[in-house]
Amino acid sequence: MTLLSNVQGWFSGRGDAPPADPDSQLMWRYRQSGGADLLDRLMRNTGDDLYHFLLTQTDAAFAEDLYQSVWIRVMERRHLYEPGTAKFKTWLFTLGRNLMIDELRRQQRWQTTDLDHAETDPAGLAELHTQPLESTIAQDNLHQHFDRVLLGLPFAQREAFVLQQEGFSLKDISEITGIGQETIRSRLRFARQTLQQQLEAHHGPA
Amino acid sequence: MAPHDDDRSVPLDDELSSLYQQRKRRHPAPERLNKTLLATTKADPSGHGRGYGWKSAASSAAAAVVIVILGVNWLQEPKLTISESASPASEMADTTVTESEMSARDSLTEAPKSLAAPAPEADARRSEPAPSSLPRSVVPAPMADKALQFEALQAEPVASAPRFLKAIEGEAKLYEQCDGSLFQHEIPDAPDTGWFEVDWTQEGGIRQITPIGDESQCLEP
Repeated sequence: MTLLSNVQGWFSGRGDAPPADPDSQLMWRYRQSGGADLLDRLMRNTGDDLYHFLLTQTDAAFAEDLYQSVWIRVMERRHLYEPGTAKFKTWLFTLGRNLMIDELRRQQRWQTTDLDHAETDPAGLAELHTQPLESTIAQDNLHQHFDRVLLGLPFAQREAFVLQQEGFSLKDISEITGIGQETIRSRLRFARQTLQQQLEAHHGPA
Repeated sequence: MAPHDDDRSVPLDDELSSLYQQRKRRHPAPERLNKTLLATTKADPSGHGRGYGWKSAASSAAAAVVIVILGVNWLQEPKLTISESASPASEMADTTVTESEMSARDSLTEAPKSLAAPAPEADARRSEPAPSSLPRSVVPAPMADKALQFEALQAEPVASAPRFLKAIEGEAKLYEQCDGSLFQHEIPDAPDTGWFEVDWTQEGGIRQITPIGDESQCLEP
């Protein structure tokens, strides 16, 4: 951020005015006071979303560790939260995704670092899988079949799909992942096609 | 959130969304994780960045400034208000006042109980170039600058190097002068009780101490 934009921010009151959406307002208040009750409400409002994202991208044990690490980071870095630049949930998921990828790389479970290259290569997409533990799902149940197909998606497609389902716009997803919007759009299209084809093949058209 | 306002080309599939939401409900964040995290933050409320931000920093700085100012004022205030009000005829009353003042000060500073607790010998004042840096046997001189206000209230007996002093029982460095005011100085050979005469050197040192007894010789030339 440039000095000019900082100065503009001071004069425009950015950083002082509470944000519009409730969770960002809570985070703003938590940033100011550090109250445990505010953190509790933030966790109850957004914790399930975050945990499910982490669980879908990794596995249960890993997701639990990551989940706690993300919230600890929220506590530690709450002074860095700028409501004028991001909604709280976007900020939270960005923290979560960064921690997750760092940890996957550390554990050598990250099978490629070139997501964009793989985007144009369907064969490459298959290499982006992590290995969720939820790999034994019965075939005769729609929900279970959905789980299996979702978890079978390449990491990047699954990530884009989950983030979209969590209410993030293309712009938000691009900010969280650091990937261009067109690439995100492409991943979403692949993900949706795969999910629809797999579900229709098993249960017929919706 | 207001998602997808810029994403009309990627319409959401209701069935996929429904399945996704049902899956999420089946996998909520474990409550024990939330409880553990909250217990952590409650157990360490000052940790994890509490006090960040310019407002908190400004508040802390302001509090620090106030504390420093109060501390400086405390060091500059008269070490003994008794010296302003003391008179030979009211020794007991003066002593009572002084002790109450000192008990209050002791409770704040935890300094050794002494009538001269906030005296120039205090550590905080040792760093100043004024009298505390002088040898102990040297008679303190009136101080300059901000310390002058403090010494001005005390300076007359100090600067005049009193000839006759009376020991105050229980006080090692505090003596009564002929006019009833108090004089603070370390006089190693001073008697524990009664009056004594001090023979000062030109340099402010003490050449000789002569015990006199209970009767002062203040009226002597």
